[in-house]
Amino acid sequence: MPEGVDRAPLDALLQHPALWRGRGAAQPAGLATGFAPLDALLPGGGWPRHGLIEILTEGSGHGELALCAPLVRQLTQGNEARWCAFIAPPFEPFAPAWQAEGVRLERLLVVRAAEPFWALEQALLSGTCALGFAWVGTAVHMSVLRRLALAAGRGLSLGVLIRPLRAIEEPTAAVLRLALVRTPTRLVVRLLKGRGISPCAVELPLP
Amino acid sequence: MNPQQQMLGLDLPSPPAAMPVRVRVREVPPAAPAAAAEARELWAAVQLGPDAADAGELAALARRAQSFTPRVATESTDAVLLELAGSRRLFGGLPALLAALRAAFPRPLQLALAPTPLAAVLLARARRNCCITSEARLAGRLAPLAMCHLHWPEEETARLASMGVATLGELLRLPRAGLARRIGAGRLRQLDQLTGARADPRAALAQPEGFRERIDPDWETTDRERLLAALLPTLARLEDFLRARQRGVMAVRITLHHRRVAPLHCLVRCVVPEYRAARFAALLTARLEALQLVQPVRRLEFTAGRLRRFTADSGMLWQPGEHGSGGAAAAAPEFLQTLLARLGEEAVYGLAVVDEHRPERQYHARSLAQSPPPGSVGPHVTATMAGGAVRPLGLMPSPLPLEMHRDRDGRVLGLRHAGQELTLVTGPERIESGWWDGAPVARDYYVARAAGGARWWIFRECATPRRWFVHGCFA
Repeated sequence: MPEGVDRAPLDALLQHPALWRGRGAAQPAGLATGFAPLDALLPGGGWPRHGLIEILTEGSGHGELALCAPLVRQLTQGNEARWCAFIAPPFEPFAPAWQAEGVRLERLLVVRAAEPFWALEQALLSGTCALGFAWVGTAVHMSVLRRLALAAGRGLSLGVLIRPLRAIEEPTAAVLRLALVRTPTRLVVRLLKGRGISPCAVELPLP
Repeated sequence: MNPQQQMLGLDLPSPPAAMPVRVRVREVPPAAPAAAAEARELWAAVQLGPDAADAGELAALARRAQSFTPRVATESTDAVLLELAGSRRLFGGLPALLAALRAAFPRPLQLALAPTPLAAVLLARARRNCCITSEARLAGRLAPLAMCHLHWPEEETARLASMGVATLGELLRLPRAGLARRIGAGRLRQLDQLTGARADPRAALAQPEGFRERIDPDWETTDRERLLAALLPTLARLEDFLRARQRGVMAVRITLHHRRVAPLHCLVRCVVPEYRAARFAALLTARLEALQLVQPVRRLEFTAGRLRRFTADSGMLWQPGEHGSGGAAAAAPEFLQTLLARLGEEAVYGLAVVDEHRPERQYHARSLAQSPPPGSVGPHVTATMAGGAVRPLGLMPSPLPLEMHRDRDGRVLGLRHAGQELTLVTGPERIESGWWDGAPVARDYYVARAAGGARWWIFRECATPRRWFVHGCFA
């Protein structure tokens, strides 16, 4: 830009909320993840406020919930907090550990469903559920994922799909896709897909 | 005074000609009944034994009494009153009615009939199982009863006893003016009600209301859409019924009758009282979808649960989740009801912490179907946990045995879970508890890392055979 040109009108235009600028653009502020290095990489500086997120891990025990625990705590605080649902988890959410994380247990909900997608859609669509975790496998049809993404958009809720690493080959309608690898001392989060980001990885100090 | 004036009971003093005529209306005394004339009201008192003053039992008696007459009331905590004047013909005369009453309220219960409710109660309390139908004979039967049956405070009865009044007859014989001064106008009013000189209106207990319908379609089907369509008019009537009473119900039950197999019961519960037909239709759709219909349905029975008071919310300007929609969380979580209706109460639950040391008992599934809405959850329990202890976010429903590699002497060389070698990271943390209640636990817990990076919470039994188990998942 040549010298002496007044940038103010242009900056003002670029701040317009209807304008989407792609990479590096102003994003709606996200929900802090509780991990500063991850916040720095995520579009909007945190988890999206609503939409579908995919977390890919090789089986359970890779810190997929520990990564989200600060988010659950944040969303279940306050008297007007909405529900947080665990749909078809491969274990029982251990209440004392969640309480130790600062989560309000009255807001947690476990759903044992043979059709996790139906239950997740109900939860996301309802508007009274802020967050829904669902454990699903591979070979999920794109139309199902789109449907869930739409439900999350309409209910202003956040759906988190926890899927095996093999699902990396499949297309996704999620707004954010992460893969987790746990090393002896750290948790490596690989950002595979997100609005305006290029694939990268970050190491978090999760024991 | 002309005869007409006399008939009307008017007493006209002869006034001076210039004065306006003042009309004084003398109170008409209650029509003096002929000795044999029957009283207008007939009250029966059913009294519990002196030692069985139980509110639940009394309510059950009152419900039973409502099959005789709609005018049922309770007296203090020990008796149920039934007004039976209107039921005499229905039951085929007084003797038949008495027999029916005795059959419904068998012997240990005291049963007495009298023209006034208080008299009936007193007679029942005094174990005079009698039937008095005329007011004229009432005073005579009441006279020998002891003062204590009135259930007046101890000191009042004692004071009257010191005046030489031990029975009702002696009390009723006393001059009214003096009596009013001694025992107060309220007590005097009570005595008047006892003898029938004064009306004693009793509010009838409300009948428990219910909604029940039977649908006999002219088809037999296994088609759920059709079943639901047949139920819709009933749901609309249910909504009208509930709206008119400003009530909601927490559960509705549908019984599906087949030609050969046993009827299928299908219960739909709500989390909060509900009245909207559309909402019931949505819940029933979810419930019917999950139902296995083996035979065509030929008849439907629809029963609504107990009517409950509820406060209807006013509508929201904001969409749920939008800024300002504070009611979103507090409002009935409809998705919860849908999930409960389709998946059942065992499959949808909340979490609660139990004050325990054994991990598998430290939490329990909180039922959402009956519990109060969140926010009003009972006392806050905090899990007992040693400082600095780590706990996994996921726990196996029951510990899974780990594969163990042993050398020739039987010593454990290595552990595997899901085909991956495990390395111990931290531990041991000993948890030893429950020796007193038959489920003793003595374990050394470790955090283990699998070759692939996953973290598990594993333990070894302290007692032989000292096996290893995986119990939790650091998800």
